[in-house]
Amino acid sequence: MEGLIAGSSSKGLAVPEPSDEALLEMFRSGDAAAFTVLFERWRGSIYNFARYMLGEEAAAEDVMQETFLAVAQAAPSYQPRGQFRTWVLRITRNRCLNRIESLRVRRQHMAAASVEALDPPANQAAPHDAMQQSEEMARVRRAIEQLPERQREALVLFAFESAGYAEIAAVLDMPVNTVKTLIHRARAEVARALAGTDEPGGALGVKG
Amino acid sequence: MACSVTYDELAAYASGECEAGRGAEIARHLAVCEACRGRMHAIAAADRALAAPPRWEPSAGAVLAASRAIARATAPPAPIEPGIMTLEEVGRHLRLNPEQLDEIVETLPAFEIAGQVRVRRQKLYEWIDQRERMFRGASMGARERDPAALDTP
Ligand SMILES: [Zn+2]
Repeated sequence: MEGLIAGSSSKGLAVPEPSDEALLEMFRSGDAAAFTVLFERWRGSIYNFARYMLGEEAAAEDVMQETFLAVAQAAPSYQPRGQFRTWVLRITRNRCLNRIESLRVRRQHMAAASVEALDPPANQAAPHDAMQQSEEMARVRRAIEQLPERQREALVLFAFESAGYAEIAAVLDMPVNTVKTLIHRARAEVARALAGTDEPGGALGVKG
Repeated sequence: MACSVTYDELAAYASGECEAGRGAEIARHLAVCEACRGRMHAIAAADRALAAPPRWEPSAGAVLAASRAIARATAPPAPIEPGIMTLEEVGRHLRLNPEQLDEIVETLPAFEIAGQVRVRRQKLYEWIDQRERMFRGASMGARERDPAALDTP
């Protein structure tokens, strides 16, 4: 297998970091420390993705942990077909969708039993997860959070992971053209939200 | 004024992803539509914001909890210890060199099979328990006679 080492190989002074795929191979042959490197490298991306998909700290923490445990468990029988990142993001996304679905079902049952909804109490403890919270950043965050689920997941992969359309399509199990449409729409929605108008296609208060 | 261009199309146009013919139409429309020019500015601002988007970071506690769970899950399995040991394995296990092993080999709970000497691990541990009791008894006796006896090599 070639290309096990990522980064410049010829004249760079720094020792090249092992690629994700090389680390996974090392883990598969018994090197537990290699998995720790993968966790350190990808935990931020996985958490951020889950956090935007689920909108909640505790659930995103659970998904981060579950995802890496699932990767560790599946690694021995894993047949590499592409990038490690694509694989781990797919697992993250599927875990998030399962949670969203089971929450939806529970809500229906609760509604049927006319019990109080499952929404977290309004007066929650402050979250522990951090984010740079300038006013501008907070507006961008809200704009992303308010996107419909499919646009949101596509845009998060596009903006945070700088993933190409093909990789996003692989993570989301969608045709590439669907992904393109979702991203164009999501960018337009964010533009609309940041410009402070919610009239789709209507007259805008925005001036150059 | 009803625009012939949607906001989504403008986003595709802004990132150079319209088909050539449609792109030319949009360019002509932009020349005459101030509202769409405003939308193009808004899209450019959004794209700038999304180039450095606000990233959620997990708390230190969550990272630590996940690290621990991963360490437990990925720890290499304990080696399987055979229930029947060779004399060499007994020597290694007891940290004795071959000469030292020779000195105690007669007292080991060993058995012979096909001309080979073997020791059951379970029996070896029982034998060690017995020697521990003997050692304690001997040292207690020694201490009664001479409290300094244990300290002398
Ligand atoms: Zn227009």
